[in-house]
Amino acid sequence: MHEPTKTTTLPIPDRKAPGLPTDIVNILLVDDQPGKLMAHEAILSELGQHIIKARTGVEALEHLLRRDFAVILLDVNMPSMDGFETAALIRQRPRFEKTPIIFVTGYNTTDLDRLKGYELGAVDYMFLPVVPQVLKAKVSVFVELARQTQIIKSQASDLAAHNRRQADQLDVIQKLNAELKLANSELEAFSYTVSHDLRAPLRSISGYVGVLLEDYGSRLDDAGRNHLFALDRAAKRMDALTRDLLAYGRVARESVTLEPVRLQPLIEAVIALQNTGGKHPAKMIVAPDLLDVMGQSFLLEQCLGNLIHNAIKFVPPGVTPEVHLRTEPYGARVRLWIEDNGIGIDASYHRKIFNMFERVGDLHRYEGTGVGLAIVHRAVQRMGGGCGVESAPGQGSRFWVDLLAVPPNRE
Amino acid sequence: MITSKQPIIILLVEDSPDDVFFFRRAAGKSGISCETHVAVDGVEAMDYLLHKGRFADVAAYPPPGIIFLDLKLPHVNGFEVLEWMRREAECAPAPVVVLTSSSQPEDQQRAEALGAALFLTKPPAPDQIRHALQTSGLVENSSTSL
Repeated sequence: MHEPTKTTTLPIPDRKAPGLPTDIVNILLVDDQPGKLMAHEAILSELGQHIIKARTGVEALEHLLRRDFAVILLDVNMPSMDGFETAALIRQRPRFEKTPIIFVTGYNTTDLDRLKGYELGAVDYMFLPVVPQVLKAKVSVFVELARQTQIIKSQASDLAAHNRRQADQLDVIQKLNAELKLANSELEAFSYTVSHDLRAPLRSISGYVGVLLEDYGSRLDDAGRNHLFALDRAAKRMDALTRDLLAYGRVARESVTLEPVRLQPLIEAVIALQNTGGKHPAKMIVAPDLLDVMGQSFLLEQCLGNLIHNAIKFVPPGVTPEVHLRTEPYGARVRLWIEDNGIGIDASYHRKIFNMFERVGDLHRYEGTGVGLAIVHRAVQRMGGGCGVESAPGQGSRFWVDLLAVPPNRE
Repeated sequence: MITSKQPIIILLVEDSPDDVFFFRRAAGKSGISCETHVAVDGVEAMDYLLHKGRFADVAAYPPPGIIFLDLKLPHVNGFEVLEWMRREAECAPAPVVVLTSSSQPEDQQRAEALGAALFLTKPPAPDQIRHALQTSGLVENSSTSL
């Protein structure tokens, strides 16, 4: 929009701030003469604000009780209650202490002296007859002030609401953390109880079976002795299951910090624990140049312990287990291969075996809990790696584990 | 050193009657002459070592040559007994073999830090008991053949 005259010295502030809910403010015009009210309204309507008119001081006060105003244009010369008296009444209320008032007055010193006599706070004045450009400029300053105040107020309340929400969320998080901590320590206590109290009776069962076989075995026939063996196997199986479930729980729970781990000594230690003789001591062929990986010792031990245990266990009767272990670079990862000469696994089971309690071996021939590969999967997952198998029945299994390689700067 | 003529006095601190039974049986099969006295919790273990309470009769309850200590005990647990023995130096006359139902490495490290000489998983086999008595210098190695 083009202004026809550029004579004004008072700037008209840019009140364009689209999208804000605080765009429109209220302006109160108080004058006993309808003609002047209409003239002022016409001038100010260009500002696009909400204009309310009052014919008396009393009427003005009634409007003030109902809403807030950006500015009040107040005629001084009114019958019964004049402008100054009205202003004094307005100022008595704390809510209007700071509402700007522009007095409209005739050009006489008496009025100006009286104005000084009242301490009326933020006031301005205009002389009659009003110059439209000046009136518009003065009022728009206060309109802008009110708009800015409203924006700041709403931002402050947004900020306060935001802070409250954040504080609430923090409370929720802290509460959840406390609950989690409690649940975790309960789980620890539970695991400890399971590993001690639940397994103790199983140990006793196996112990008494041993005593029976030693002291009374000769008085039993083969069937009786076989029942005792079955009893012992059942107790040992439950003990193994309990132990594996605890291991799985710990693998899932253990806090993980990845650090460079030397696979060579770790694998040799795991093999030393696993390959404790038996009828057919396994042949373990470990490549001498295993690559280091980013991992966590406990998780790696659990993962490799189970894979090596399986590789040794699942061989056809009479066959000496032969297990090859080697690594190869695999992009930013290291792929570890565990290859055996065992019974092999049908392709349709290759995914399933990594789930809890999935077993593919013959239960009578191959003792197992069905938890081992679930532990492997979980442990590898927690170290940011992957695992899988390539195998076919009768052709052995080639299990692989991908782990993060050690970045060059950490070697 | 106690000669093999006199039985070795063992104090077994164990609350499970089953485990007491298995221990006595294994000790009996260890081929070493020994006499096992039982305290059923940590409080009794301390009473035994101090000749207090029902263990006041020193002739009936002689000072042990070796202590087999379960970690999980009611009232006062195995760790607390070990701590107490370390504090009361004069009450630590014998090597301690810790018995445990789990092979938790944390337990083992803590027990070793508190001065346990050996760590055995329950129930101990006869040769494990014999080995414990030998490494504690209570019997000569020469008397050990299966």
